[in-house]
Amino acid sequence: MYFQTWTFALFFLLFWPVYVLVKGTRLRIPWLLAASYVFYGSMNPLYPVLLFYATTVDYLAVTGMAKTRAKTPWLLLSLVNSLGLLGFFKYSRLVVETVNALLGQCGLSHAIPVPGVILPVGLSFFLFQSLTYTIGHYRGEVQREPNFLRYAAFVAFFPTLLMGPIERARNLLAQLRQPPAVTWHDVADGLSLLVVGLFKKLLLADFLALYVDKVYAAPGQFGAPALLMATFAFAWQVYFDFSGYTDMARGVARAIGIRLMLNFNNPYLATGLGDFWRRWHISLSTWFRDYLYIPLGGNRGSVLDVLPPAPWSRRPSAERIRRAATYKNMFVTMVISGLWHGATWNFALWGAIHGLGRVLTRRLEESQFYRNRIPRFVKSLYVFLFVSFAWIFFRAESFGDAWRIVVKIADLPGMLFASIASISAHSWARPWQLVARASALVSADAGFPLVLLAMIAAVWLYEVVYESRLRGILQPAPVRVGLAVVLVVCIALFARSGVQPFIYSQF
Amino acid sequence: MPPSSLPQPETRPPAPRSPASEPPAFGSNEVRLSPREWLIAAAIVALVLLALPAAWERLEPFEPGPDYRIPYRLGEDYWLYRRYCRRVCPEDRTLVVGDSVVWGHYVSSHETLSHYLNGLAGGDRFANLGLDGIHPAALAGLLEDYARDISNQKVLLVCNPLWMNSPTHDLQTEKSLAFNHPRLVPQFFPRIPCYKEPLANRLGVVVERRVPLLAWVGHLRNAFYDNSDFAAWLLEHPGENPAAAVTLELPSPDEPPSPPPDARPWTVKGLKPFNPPWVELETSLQWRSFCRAIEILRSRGNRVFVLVGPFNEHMLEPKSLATYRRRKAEIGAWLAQHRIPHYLPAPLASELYADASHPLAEGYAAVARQLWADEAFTTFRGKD
Repeated sequence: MYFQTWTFALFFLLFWPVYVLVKGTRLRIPWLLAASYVFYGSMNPLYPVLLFYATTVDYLAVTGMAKTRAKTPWLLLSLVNSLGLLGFFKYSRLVVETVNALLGQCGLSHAIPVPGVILPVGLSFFLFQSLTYTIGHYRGEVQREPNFLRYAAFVAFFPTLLMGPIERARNLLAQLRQPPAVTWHDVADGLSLLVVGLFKKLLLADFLALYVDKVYAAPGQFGAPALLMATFAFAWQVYFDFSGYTDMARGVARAIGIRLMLNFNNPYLATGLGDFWRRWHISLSTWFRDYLYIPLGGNRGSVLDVLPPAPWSRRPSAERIRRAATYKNMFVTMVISGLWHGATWNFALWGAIHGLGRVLTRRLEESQFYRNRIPRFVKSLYVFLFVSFAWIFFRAESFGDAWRIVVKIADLPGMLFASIASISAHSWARPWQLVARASALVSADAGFPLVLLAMIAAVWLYEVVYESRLRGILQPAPVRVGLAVVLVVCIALFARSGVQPFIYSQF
Repeated sequence: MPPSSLPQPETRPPAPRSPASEPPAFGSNEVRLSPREWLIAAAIVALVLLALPAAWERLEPFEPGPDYRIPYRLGEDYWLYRRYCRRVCPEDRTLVVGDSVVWGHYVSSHETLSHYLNGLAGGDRFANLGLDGIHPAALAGLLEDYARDISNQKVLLVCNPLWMNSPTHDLQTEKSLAFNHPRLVPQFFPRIPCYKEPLANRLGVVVERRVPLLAWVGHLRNAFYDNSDFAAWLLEHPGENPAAAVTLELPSPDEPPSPPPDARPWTVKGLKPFNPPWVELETSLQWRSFCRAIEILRSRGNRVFVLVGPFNEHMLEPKSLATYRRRKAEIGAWLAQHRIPHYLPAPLASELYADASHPLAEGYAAVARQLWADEAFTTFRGKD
């Protein structure tokens, strides 16, 4: 049951009035929990069984921690259980296929049967959310929750269950402990978020998906301009799709008096790769920061990195060791976060590309020259181009397809040069003609709808204005009411029929 | 990801500083309205959404002539059907309602049953409200939700027994089956075994039937955007201005179906006799739906006359023919029992049929003559 469906509308219309009635009573948590399990069970009746199991183990682990001084075995139990579930449901296929490939390389004909396991929707999200409780308690950041139902409601909280944001126990669980004050302002805020999310999903992401899916399904049949446009289109599609979901989740939660964290902050306006990851899927970025990067040593490096230098090398400075360790930690974290997204080596490669990008550009991005001398537009463009390049590996069906796309796109400058070279010398005096010629060549071959281009440009412009000193022009009530009316009317008139799944629901 | 989020001196906990520990920001590009502003926005949206279809009716020319029928291409444009009903009902004509037999699948709009009845009546007394492919389960939905204007009228309702000739036509198979007009059939009760649409889509259909705007959006898609989603149209016409596609010109009622039908007698086309099993009336979903369609019409003060057929009995194998005749008699008995005036025409000459249920032009003329001569029909039409 996705937020943009009529099923959810019916579900919420039944859920919300009762929730508001019982929010000040003991029935609040059981009602929220029951609704969350119904919500999840609507995807598959067996999913709630898994959810209940994972919830119970983590709850017992923390109960165990609270009753003994030896907390580590209980933490290990929680980690092994959660990562084991992820490993089984998400990675068993990848592992078996990889082993089979290696066996084949070694000339062994024996192949392990590939498990036909279906990945339950939201597993990666609610397990990570639950781990914030066990790890948090282990570190002394989160109190033990005495009420099992409340803890279960935290893990199964339906707005975040399928695709996050991956909330922290100290934020969400703490809110569930207090009866929420659901005001009309909360409802209005929830509606505001919901409408923007619906617009992003139904009008932007779903529209772009048609083009992207067509091109990426058979990249060999399309030329470089179409592949380039599809790659750029996917960059926007995945943003609208996921941030649209997040907006809806936050809106739904807001309407029941719960504040969820911001998950996207105009990522394509980022001025560096580091900045990009501060703006993209913030709940996961910060999760990996808190629970992987820092334990690995973070910016300070780790014991493992302070190895004795080779006899023939000059002994590196402590600063160099620290920096090398930081880069290594960054890279490892990015590769693992890539694998979190999906169980194919393409995702690992996607993570590795970002990791490498961060390692190579970190010092540059921290330099005064970069910060003060490079125009913001240029920095944003570089980030967008880099991120789009990495998306190729994220979106392509296979590594072979991804590589084919990269090679074809690399031919584009040559094509454009040949086209421009044919323009008469007279025209070279008018640069706009060259740009027009190149644009016409790309758009004619790509077959990308101009209306979609205009819609993306409008959203981009809105975000630019939103982050600029001109933001004030978006604040007057008539402007906001007008925008809301336009969004709702556009959704009503132009949304695609049928329910299109979310990209991140497969993770 | 994490690396970027790190302030320089960050090391291990215990003092984590993640956004989760801070009051969450409201949004990054939100359009945030207060409750009062939302009320204003809702009022404007409601006004716009209610006014648009009404305004469109004034903008888009629609002058249905005497033999008008819903253009084949707009066969799923229920908004236009509603508009046509609204237009034709005040004219005090007898409305001929039914599937492609009424619509005239193999003939032009000037060769349909209503056309020949008009000829016999000597004026525009009959209107063709047939819709291609509208089986009884969908017909009941069409009448219930999109033909509310048909009230206090005379209705000639055509029952095509073809829809009851097998469990498949009767929508009784458990296997998923694609059939015509799924947005008109009952979405929940009675259950249609072969209809496997997800719950979300079914709810969407229920909403669509009750919100005129959504039917109007369907009209735009059908009439101007190649019967496809706006998004799919954009993809097919990447450089075009979507507003320019709205030409305000509706297709002609004589635009042939796609693919164009072979309007020759079934014997010439090489069709073979077939042997359908026919379902029992008591268990037939389509028959129950047809009865419901009658009930809906009568409950709105309409006077209903039922024409059963004309089915091509020549195309049935002997065993199947015997069963068909029993069913036909049962239908007649049921109609008589419920005091519904009706006519069960004798089979036409074999060469007057294009297939199992559709007459050719001469066949329609013959049926019209038969019907015109029927005493019950004379009584029905004579009460003007």
